[in-house]
Amino acid sequence: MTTALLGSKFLYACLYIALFACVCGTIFRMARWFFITTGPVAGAPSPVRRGLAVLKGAASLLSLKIFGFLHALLVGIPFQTGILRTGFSRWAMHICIFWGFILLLLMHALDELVTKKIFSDYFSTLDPYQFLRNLFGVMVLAGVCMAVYRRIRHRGPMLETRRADRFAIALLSVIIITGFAMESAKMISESVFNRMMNDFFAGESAGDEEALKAYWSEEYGTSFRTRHYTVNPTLLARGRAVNEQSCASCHSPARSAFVSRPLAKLMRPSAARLEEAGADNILYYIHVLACLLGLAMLPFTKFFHVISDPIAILVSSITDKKNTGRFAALPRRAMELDACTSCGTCSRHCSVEPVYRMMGNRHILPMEKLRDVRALSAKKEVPEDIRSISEGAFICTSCFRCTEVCPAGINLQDQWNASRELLSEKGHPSPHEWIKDFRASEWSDLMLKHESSWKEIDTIKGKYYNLTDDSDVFAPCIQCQTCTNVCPVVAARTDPEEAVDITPQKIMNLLRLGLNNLAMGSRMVWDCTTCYQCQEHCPQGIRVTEIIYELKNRAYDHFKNIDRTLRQADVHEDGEKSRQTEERK
Amino acid sequence: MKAMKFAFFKGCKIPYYLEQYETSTRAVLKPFGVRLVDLEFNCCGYPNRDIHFESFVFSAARNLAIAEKKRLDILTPCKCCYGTLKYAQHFLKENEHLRGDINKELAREGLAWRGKIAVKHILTVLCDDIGLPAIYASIRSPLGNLSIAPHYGCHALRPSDIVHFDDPLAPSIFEDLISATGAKPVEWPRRLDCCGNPLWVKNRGISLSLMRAKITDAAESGADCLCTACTYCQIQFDAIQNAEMSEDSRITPMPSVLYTQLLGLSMGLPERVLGMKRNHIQCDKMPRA
Amino acid sequence: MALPKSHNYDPAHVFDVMVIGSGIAGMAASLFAVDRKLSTVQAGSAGGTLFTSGLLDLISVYPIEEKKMWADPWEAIAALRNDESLHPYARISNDEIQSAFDEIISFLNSRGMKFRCERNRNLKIITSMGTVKYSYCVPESMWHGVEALEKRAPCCIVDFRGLKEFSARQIAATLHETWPDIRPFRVPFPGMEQRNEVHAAHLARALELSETRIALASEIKPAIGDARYVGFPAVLGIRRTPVIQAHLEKILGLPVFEIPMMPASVPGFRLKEIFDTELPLKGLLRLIDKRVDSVTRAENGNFLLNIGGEEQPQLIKARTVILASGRFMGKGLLSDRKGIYEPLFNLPLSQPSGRHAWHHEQFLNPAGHPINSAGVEVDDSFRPVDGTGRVIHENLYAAGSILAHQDWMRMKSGSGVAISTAYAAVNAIMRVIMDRSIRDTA
Repeated sequence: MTTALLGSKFLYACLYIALFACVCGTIFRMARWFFITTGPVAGAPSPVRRGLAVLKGAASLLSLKIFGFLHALLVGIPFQTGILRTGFSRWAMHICIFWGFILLLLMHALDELVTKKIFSDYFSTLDPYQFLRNLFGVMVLAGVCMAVYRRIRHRGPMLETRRADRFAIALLSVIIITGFAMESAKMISESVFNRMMNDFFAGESAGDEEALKAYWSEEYGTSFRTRHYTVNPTLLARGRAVNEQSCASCHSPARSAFVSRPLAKLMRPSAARLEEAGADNILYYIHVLACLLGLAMLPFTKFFHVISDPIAILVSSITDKKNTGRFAALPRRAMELDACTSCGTCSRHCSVEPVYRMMGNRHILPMEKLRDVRALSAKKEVPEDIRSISEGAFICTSCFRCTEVCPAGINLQDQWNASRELLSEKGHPSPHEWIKDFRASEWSDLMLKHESSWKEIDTIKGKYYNLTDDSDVFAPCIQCQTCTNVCPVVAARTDPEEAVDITPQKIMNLLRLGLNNLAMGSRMVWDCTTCYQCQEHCPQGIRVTEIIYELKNRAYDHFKNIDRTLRQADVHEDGEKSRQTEERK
Repeated sequence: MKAMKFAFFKGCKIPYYLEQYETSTRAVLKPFGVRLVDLEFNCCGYPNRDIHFESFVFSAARNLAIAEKKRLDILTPCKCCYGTLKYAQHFLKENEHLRGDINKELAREGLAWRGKIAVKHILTVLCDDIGLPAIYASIRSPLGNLSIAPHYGCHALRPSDIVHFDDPLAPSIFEDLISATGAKPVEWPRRLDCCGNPLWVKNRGISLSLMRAKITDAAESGADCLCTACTYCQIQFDAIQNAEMSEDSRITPMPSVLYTQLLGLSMGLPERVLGMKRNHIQCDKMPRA
Repeated sequence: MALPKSHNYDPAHVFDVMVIGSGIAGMAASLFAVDRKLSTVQAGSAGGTLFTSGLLDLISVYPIEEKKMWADPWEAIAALRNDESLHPYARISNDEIQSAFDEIISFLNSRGMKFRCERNRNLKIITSMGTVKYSYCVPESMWHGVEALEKRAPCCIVDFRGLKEFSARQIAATLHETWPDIRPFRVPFPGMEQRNEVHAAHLARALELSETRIALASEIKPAIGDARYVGFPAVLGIRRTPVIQAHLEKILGLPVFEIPMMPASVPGFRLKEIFDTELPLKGLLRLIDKRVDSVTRAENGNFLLNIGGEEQPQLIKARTVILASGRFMGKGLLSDRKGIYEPLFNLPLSQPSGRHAWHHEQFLNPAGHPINSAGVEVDDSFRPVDGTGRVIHENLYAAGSILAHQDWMRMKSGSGVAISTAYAAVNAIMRVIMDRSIRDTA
């Protein structure tokens, strides 16, 4: 290979730098897969163990799993069946960009290395190559247009456009548009024509040159500043003949360049200025540099998914979704964080998406959850909105639907399971756990202090339910204890003493005394198994279970903005002290 | 027989935790000409009822509206889904504010809850829509010699004025259906009690203690096997019992089958659809499919 | 609105009897009706029979002012009939009362809750307060208690840590003078050792499992000594009480008995379970937790009872109605400033002339209060009548505590009045039906 490949030492150097950056970046990012810990930190295996587990996983290919693997490799990835399942228009968009770009890369960018080796007659300005280059370019451009349209049409929490997406779209557009523009600029350029004339044309008789220029001007749109001829059919016919003889072996007719030729026509009025500015050269530089920029930044932009996604798809083809290995799951999850393109498919199909719509917490949506997983694994410090993150994380029915639909084959369900463990470890477990942080009386005190944080919600909620403030509902209670006597939870509770003193019938009593706040944090309310025995058996027809449900709902609203770390600090301190005293002994 | 068509609401857990429930349900319903239509439903809303009422109602209402749009009644094999959808219907009917707000949100995707469709549990469909005579007629190999303890499940049975499943204090639908298979329904004191699953992640101790009492009771009452017709109850008695109680030497494992598996067995359906081998605890007295 | 499976009925069907109320009277009326092959529907709250002690009293105190206790209930009834011709017992013969008891007891016996009575005398039994009371008919599970009390045999009374409504020590202290050889013994209940508070029904359900019984027996054994009987609070299972009792007797090697507790008690749960599960099997349509909102009467005299509320009226048609809705606790009677009233049929009531006359001046007046005898007046067929003795509706009957001129609480005659008046009402209905069919065939 020579500098001829790019025609410039500068660009050639750039290519090497970009390649180097790409390779180093890729190695760096892939290596991180073995160091990033998602899920609980305690007891996380060493990178070496993770690596060995991955090798062991790879070894499992020597079984019937190989067929699934091959299917993913030969069908799933090239035909992008994962995306097809999520919708045709998205698939069409993605397949256009994917195959358009890949084919441009192989046939056009790497022509010296690939196309020429396979097709000895390759010449970039000959058909079918000229036609195909236009076609592939159009494919990419059409894909990019569809992408932009989709992102505007469906914008919202299911399909958010962030900087990474904009950059990717912009870079692709720049590469393809400058490519076309450069081809057009060459077509209309007199100097390029002249250079070619000088190099390849030996006019046999006078007037041949004029005829050829007339023909090129007509056919290719080349713009000649000085014209010494008048165009007429005879001249054109002669020009065509000359072209046939001298040029056609390297230049197919312009109509196959079905984008560049019309574009050339558009650019023709300003041909002179473009010529003066050396537009074809500038466009060439932009085109190549944009490509190299893309290459160099590949590991650090959305483009990295062209590496990580096929890996994720292949890995998912040979692994069990439910029983993920303990060690191998870690690097896999880390890898999958790089494979997510935020396409939003998971969020659109999520079983609890309607819950998001009512609660308005973005962290309920899987796409956002994965972002949270990334944030939690990257940083030591606790994010500010950790309570919202935790709320979202625990609103999940473990239905595996997100895993099922993810076009990149990410085992999202496993990500959620791990992140819930991590959140519990960090002191932000599910509501049923953190409710135990304080006793009922402490919650009651705290909630009064934070009245402003829930007063408004309470009023809004009043129109949906209001059993606990309506004395008609619980006043008929005659304290006969039937509810308590039929309650399986009261019968089965084993926690000691005061924690379980409140029984359903005492809750009714608390409501009558107006001590709703005390009922809210009680173990009875949060340990209710919702079997409705109390409600069914109440001789007074009191809706006991529904009252308990409402207390839980209200408690959740009242408690959730209260800083729970307060208590954790206390407990920690206590533990610390008692340990010190023990040590002293 | 009139062809019956239902929207099949399988709930969140079946596809990955209890596949055999789906395959056996489809298999036993097919000979009776019941068609199950798959729609993309979301979570029934049950898991979120603890903390956020409106999102529970909205989740359920959305499912109801999706089925209503197709003018299909819902059939669900899960008693928690059944109960939840029924509760939501009740609240929507009862509370005008709620209905208005929920419908406003549904309207954004062209849906509406009007309360025009029915929600049915598989047992009701078998017993009432298909009818016991037809069930009896479909039995190829009666399961004599087998004592089965029916586990009713809470959310289908109570509160009876909302769910309308059976007599809440003296239900009989499950015994009737078990008798049809030729097996003997066992009378046991705790048949209407909770399986414990709702507390599985919330308070494991109580959850296990509830299950343990039921298992012991069923064994003392002479049952060879429990029978469930609910996704969560079956997961509790099968997978969770297997995982949690195998080390408890005081307890002999009590197998649990799904009613659709039991019926399928007596109808002579193959293991491929019944998935008996997918159950974690096998019942030795059960004939092979 | 759809009803539960067992509630599926043909809305056009005309029931022979609708029973309103689910206490002992309502349950007994339903039982007698279905036993006589009458098509019967019953509505009422879920827990009517819960509030019974499990003892079936006939009568043991009369006159109330004197608190005179009667060992022979029939003598008491005779004395009562002599003085008070308006008391429900004055309208029923002894044979009828006995048959009513026989029928209900044979039903309960056949369903696993055995009872014992000695036709011509009341049985003496100790209560959870340590007092001794008379009752006509006691659950088999309490029988050994009657024996032990009679013999004043050495006895160990067990109670459980955390069971608040039962104290063996208090029983022993109260009985000490008449029955010195009684020993209280408190144990933690197996499996609930950590609790400050336990509940009778939970202990009962736990004892349905044999492992609990074995653990309990091993706790008690060391304390038995020379005791000849072991007494427990009434917690020996909600179902299978005979099995549980037999098992405990076997492993303890001694007869054991239950001591009745304050309502709502475990024997109340037992009765409720049996009525709730067995009556529907006999063909009763039981509308649980359904209250009758309003009643109208068709031209042919049939009652149309709306049980669906205002929004979705749901009608039940019935040829006759037995009103067994109880007094104030069962909401059969309500009160406002003007006085008390019967909300469903707006029946005329026998009641004190004004609110001031409801109670005597002393709250604990041994004679009871006029309000305690207020209620519906009836004729000999137990059909409500007005002040002049005119029957209100010829096909409306009343039974149980809603009836006037009886203070069941102080006379200790609750179950007896409930069962026998239900029996009389159903028989009156039967007579009308038989007469009509004889007329029709003729």
